[in-house]
Amino acid sequence: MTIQLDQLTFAYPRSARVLRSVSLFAAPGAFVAVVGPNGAGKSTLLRLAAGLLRPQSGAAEINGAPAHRLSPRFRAERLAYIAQRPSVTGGFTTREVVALGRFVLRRDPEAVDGALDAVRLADRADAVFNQLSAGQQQRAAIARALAQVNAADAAGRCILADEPISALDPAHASIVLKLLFAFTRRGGTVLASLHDLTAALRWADQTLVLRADGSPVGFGPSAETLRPEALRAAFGADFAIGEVAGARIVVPLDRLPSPLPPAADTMTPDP
Amino acid sequence: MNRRETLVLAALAALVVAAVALRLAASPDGLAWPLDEFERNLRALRIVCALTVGAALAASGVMLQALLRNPLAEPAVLGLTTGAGLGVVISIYIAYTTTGAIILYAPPALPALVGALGALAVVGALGQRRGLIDPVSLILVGVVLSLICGAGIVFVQHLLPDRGVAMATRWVTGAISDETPWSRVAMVGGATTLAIALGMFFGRALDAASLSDDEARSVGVPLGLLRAALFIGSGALTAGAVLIAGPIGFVGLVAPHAVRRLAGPRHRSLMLSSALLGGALIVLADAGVRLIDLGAGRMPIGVLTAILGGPAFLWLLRRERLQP
Repeated sequence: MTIQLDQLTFAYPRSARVLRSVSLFAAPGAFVAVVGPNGAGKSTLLRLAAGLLRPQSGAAEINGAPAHRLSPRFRAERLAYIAQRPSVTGGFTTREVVALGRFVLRRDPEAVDGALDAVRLADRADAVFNQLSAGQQQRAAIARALAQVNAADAAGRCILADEPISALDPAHASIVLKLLFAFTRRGGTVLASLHDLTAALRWADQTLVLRADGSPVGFGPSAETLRPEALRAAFGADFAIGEVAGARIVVPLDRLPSPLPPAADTMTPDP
Repeated sequence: MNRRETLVLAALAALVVAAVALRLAASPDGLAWPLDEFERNLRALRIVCALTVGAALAASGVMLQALLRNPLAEPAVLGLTTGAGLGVVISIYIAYTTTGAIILYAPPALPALVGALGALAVVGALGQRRGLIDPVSLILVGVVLSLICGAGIVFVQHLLPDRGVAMATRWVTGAISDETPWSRVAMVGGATTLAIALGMFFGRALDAASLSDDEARSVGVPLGLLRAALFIGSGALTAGAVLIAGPIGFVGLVAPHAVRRLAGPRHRSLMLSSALLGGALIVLADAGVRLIDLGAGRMPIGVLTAILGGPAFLWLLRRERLQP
């Protein structure tokens, strides 16, 4: 499945522009990351790509068709959306929430249990969703998406994930990123917003970097777009890119404001 | 339905049978099976009225809670019942000014529906903050709207001659009348059964609509269509209940909550079990007001449901606000 955003511009009613002339292309089998500071419009971009919002100018297309005109059936069969803060009203169990991913599709208890197992939530399957921790709820939402687009051949399916690892500990974040990556290797398409720049560099084939005003810094192969100068343009901060144990990492350079505060061991004790 | 849901459904069906038997036997002198056919028919009429009203209010509560994503939503708290009541008394007044006759027991149905839907539209529009429905604002708007509509009912009644004022109990507090025509009960009962069946048919969609809007749409829920159906369904069920018994409070809150605790949140079972429990509660309340004689005639059912349901609402309000 292809996802194409072309010169996309969007503003919510009575508010400043959120996205300005943003373009990207995600081919079948591609893992595309979107990075940028808070308020850059990453969530809005994902909602536009999922067809949950209608663009004001430019285009958001799935397989060449306007995303907001997709039929509910097509969307349910081929496009799983993971919200930044998943929520469910009522006392549904985790398994019931994951099974909602297959609401209009053929019931598939094996896919549901397999997805729960994949995100390491099998032992919490019968717990009430609203009593899970934020990280567990996020993993349940990812399991719901996996159950929804479950197929040996994932070509023709996509997952749009809004900060899918924001509430996860490093071990579970790694599990989820590997699951999304594996989905793309089976032919699926992933578009995910991420705050973990190292994860974007490691797992995403391509990355879109956004500025705080919603304009693009650049889009292309992650190794080319996630460079210190591009990150400085996006975040207004300095970053270094290095290598640890064979893996490339992105590290923010936390420079202390000048003049430096007195070091702890030279401070004068309070009288 | 899973085993737990089936067990709860069977238990509630048994409760309905027991409540019906109790109401058939309840008389001011205690429990005695009616030998007189007229008395039996009268009690049967009241039982069918009570079952219909209770089922309609409970199913309306389930729909409102799903529509507004608010566990405290119910027809009386949101002002739908008094909105429907106001629609009814206005229509009675208009009919009186044009024909000179006061319609006592079978007022037209459309004004009740318009009143209930109008109240729901106002509550839905004003109960929002920054475009999202705010649970507490929703309840506050509903309570104020209910007071306004209640005052409107009394105002219109005072424009009518003495007999209109005498209807105050029926349209302000809620009561089942011995004079309700069978044709009216059949119409409301049929519509209620249809609405509950439709609610059950859309049970899985209601489950999926429990997700956030974006997630629900992404799994294929036609949210706009579903919400329109819930809007009309909850309004129609409330209007039907009000046409038979006037505004009766808290059944639409207590029945769904009790069923959720017993059988879980899945809407297919929730809709049917809540309707059974709501029906049983009103039948039991009618038996209660028949058996409890305080010396001033039969107490309106609405008084009993408010005395029992009000504290339950306050308990739920506190519990919901304490939850993160």
